[in-house]
Amino acid sequence: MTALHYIWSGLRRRRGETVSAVLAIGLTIAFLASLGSFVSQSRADLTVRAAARVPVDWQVQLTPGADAAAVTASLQSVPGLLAQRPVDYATVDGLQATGPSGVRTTGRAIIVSLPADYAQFAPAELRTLVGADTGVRLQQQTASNLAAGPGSSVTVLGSGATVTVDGVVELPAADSFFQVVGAPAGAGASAPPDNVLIVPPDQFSRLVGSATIVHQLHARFDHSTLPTDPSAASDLSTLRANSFAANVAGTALVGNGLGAALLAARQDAIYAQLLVLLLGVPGVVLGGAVTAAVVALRNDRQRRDLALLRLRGVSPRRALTIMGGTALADGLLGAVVGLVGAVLAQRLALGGGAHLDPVWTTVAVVGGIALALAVELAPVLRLLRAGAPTVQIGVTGSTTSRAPLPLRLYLDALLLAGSGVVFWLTARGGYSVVVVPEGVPVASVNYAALLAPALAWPGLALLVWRITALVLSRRAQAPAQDPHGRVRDLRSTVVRSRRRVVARGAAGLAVAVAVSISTAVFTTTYDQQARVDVALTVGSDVAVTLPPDTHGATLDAAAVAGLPGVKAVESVQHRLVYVGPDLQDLYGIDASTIGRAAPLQDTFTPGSSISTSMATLARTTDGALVSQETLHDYQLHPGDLIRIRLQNVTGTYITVPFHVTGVITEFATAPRDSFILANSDYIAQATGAAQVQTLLVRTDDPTQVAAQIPPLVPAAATTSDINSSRSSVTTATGLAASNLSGLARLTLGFGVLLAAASSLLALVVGAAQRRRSLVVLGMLGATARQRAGFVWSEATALVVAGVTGGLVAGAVIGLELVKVLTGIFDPPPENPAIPVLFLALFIGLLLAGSAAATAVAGRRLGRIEASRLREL
Amino acid sequence: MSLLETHDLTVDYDARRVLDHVNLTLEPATRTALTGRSGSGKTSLLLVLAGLLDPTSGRFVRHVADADVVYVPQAPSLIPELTALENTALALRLRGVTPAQAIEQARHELILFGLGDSVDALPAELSGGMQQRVALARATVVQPRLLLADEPTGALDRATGTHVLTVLMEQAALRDSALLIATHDLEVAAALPLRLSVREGSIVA
Repeated sequence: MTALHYIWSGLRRRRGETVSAVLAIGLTIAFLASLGSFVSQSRADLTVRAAARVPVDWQVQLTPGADAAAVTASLQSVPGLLAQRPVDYATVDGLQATGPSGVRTTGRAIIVSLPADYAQFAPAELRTLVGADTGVRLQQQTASNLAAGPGSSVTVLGSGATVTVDGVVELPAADSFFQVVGAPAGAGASAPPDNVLIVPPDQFSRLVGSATIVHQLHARFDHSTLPTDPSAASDLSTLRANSFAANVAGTALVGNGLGAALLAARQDAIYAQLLVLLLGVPGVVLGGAVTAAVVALRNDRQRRDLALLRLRGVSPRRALTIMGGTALADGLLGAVVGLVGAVLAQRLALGGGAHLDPVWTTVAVVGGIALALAVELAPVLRLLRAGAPTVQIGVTGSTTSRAPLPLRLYLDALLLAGSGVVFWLTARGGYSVVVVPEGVPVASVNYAALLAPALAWPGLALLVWRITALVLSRRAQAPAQDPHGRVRDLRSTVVRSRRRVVARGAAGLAVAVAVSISTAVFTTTYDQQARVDVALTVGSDVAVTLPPDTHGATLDAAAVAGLPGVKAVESVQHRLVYVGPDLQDLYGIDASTIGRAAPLQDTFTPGSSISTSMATLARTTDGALVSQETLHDYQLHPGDLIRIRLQNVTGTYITVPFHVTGVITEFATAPRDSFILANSDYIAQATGAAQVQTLLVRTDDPTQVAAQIPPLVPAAATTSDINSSRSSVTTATGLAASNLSGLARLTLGFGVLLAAASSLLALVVGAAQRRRSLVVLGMLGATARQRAGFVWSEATALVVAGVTGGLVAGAVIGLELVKVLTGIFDPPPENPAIPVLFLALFIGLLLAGSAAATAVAGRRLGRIEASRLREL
Repeated sequence: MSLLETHDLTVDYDARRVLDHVNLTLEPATRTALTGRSGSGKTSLLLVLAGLLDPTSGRFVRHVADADVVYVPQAPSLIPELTALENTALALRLRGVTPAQAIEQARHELILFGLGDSVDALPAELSGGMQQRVALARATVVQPRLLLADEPTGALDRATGTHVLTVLMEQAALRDSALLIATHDLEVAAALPLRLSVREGSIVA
């Protein structure tokens, strides 16, 4: 008989073992290949997204007296340059406009010269609000300050020149657009200018007169040639910028916006890496363990086959070749299944655009085949080394009655104590697992913090093992009567003596369940916070907004409150005010009722609960909750007086005193940096203007309610609802929700498969090990029900222990993940979210699947067949 | 009335004929040796008579209840997690005997088979011969009307084998049970009053 014939007939004859081994190997290969491909794909996504967010890649600022033509020529030679445009800036004393309410004058203003096609060159820099897309345009805030619009005349103080406004624009990326090129991080202006006039190049000189002019060249590059890794892409961009700076030494400075954005993307890349490490790796390890256990089902038969081959005079080398051939065949077939599975997983979990990474796919295939070879050949090699194997060795199972060494060493207690200590150290203070200091090219990752979940995984698995074995060690009392021969006490005795095998299976099942549960807890928490984030951006379930400081129109809360489906409506005044020289958003609210419609969390008010902060504000008529930045910049403390300049009913700025009652970090519709929350009654009284610019509406049917609002509010009002905004709002950190949901789908999908495989493996192997006893029971005249009772006893113990342990372990790991990876959430969660529906469905399906597997296994294995009787 | 009878009973196993038109009648309280070489069909015939193997063709009539026929295979067949006493009592418990009675009867039966000192031992702690004696005790404790035993003394030394055979005969006589013992041991066969021989699937004597 040739080796190939032996291998082929062996695979066919033991079809059940072959199919199980191939599927298990395939599952692990698919998981590893998908996960690895996800890592490389997500890094590439982060790079692409970070680069795409940059409105202008480089802002090259010419030093006074520099040769503009030479710098331009040098810039042309930088690899990957797509286009460049000249942009000039000049600071003037102010702008002035005359309107119906009189003459209005601003403070210092910046005149910017932009070529006509700049909006096409850098579309993200300008957004036209009113009027023309070209020509003379006022920034939105400047237009508000001057009460000017298209057609208004604006005079530039200093030169005295006058222009006619063509449009009003918003500058979404004003921070970078007005950056101080060449200044060290933190040394530049903290806020963009409030007054900006954009003009065509041909009018620029006339308007700025003798003011100092700053010449810049704005450049855009081809992002498709960047490396996929954010760090590598950042390095390349920095190298190019340095090289260019060296070429034009002394004549120009480079503001490398692209490099800075890519540098910031490193943090997201590290978080993505940590997510994979914490959510995916336990699943891969478990997958490997399950695969090893499934493949090891061949070992008993192999021992017997080896003994028979040796008895027939087959040399050890040839016997090893034959056994190795079977293992290789298992591995290769598993690789085919795994590749198909990986492609399917990519499609289902990550969408059609995802593709398998060749390196990771190779690693997964080689790993899967190596696992099959190692698990199948290790016992064979041991036997061959030990000498001539006998058939008896193959028949005799090797079972140990001792508790495993880790349990005897109380490793579970040690690991969990270690995890607890690390978690406590992590959770007690303001902690961040990833720190990316500005200006430092290397991100710092506190890998020690990952020890909490890393230690908890094996600790909890061992604890489930210990507790299961302990609970099953109780001896059952025999009943006084047992007329139906249910023999519960004897069944319990059988399970008791097999408690270590059952406990091992329960620990494996618990880990599989915990992988899915912890992923689900983490993902649900992320999703919950993303919803809060969207709610904060929108304002509530539905929000109606007018531009700030609109005094001519107001919003009528009573009219909206009368709509069907509306549960609560809160009115909010929105004013643009000055705190010192800083322009900030001021929101006037009714602090005692705002929680009815606005999303509020304790995390919004550091050092206090949100309810306490709101109650304090409601009690303090002239109270104000200010941002952390304002507190810090102006050295303020609760109780301090703060004078704020805001417009009165005539549009004139007046100074109004407030008293600081606390700090606030987030509020509905508010920007993320600086804003102030105060009592609307006080603002109305101080300014004489009670107009409402925002309505926050709480409802269970946002889409429907939002559709009914427009006829009830002024035409200038914008109505938005949480449903339609969810897809457009960028949530949380730069780590896009699509990345997390892709990873979550992968881990959850494979976690569920692993849980099913683990329970199936443990149940079927347990039942198979009991096959001999089941046949004996049949021989003794036991009914099918009595025989099934023995299978069900063990299965019930295993599944109950595994699922219960998995629920607890999953909750603990999920909690630790949420805490350790707090930096991913924005805003941070008060508590982890529990995915009740998923849990119920998952556990229900697992229990139903386990019951079905037990019933099938019990029925098949309990069948009395002559061939099995002969095997006794 | 006979305990069971077969008419032209044929069994094919994997396209191989193992029993070929067997006609047999077993009367109550008879003690019969079933002899023949290895592979002659002895075990298959016992399995058919025990109701554990369906014949391919022919007629098989049993005039006793399933519970009154007990089969003891050649290899020891104990539940590895239960003690000798629990294994023996299990056969009674499955028939609804109260746990206390089952333990009492099982203990008594084990003593009969010379295992009074090993009642609390697990199968793995017993020798192959002792395990076979436990299996026989478990078979006789339910007082079957027909005991089918496949090489019951094969794993025992001569003295123990003789003792076990004596116990089986005594118990059978005491309880009016019929015995059909498959063996290729001529001494065992000689100890039984009736003998049947199987050759290539057919009863030849």
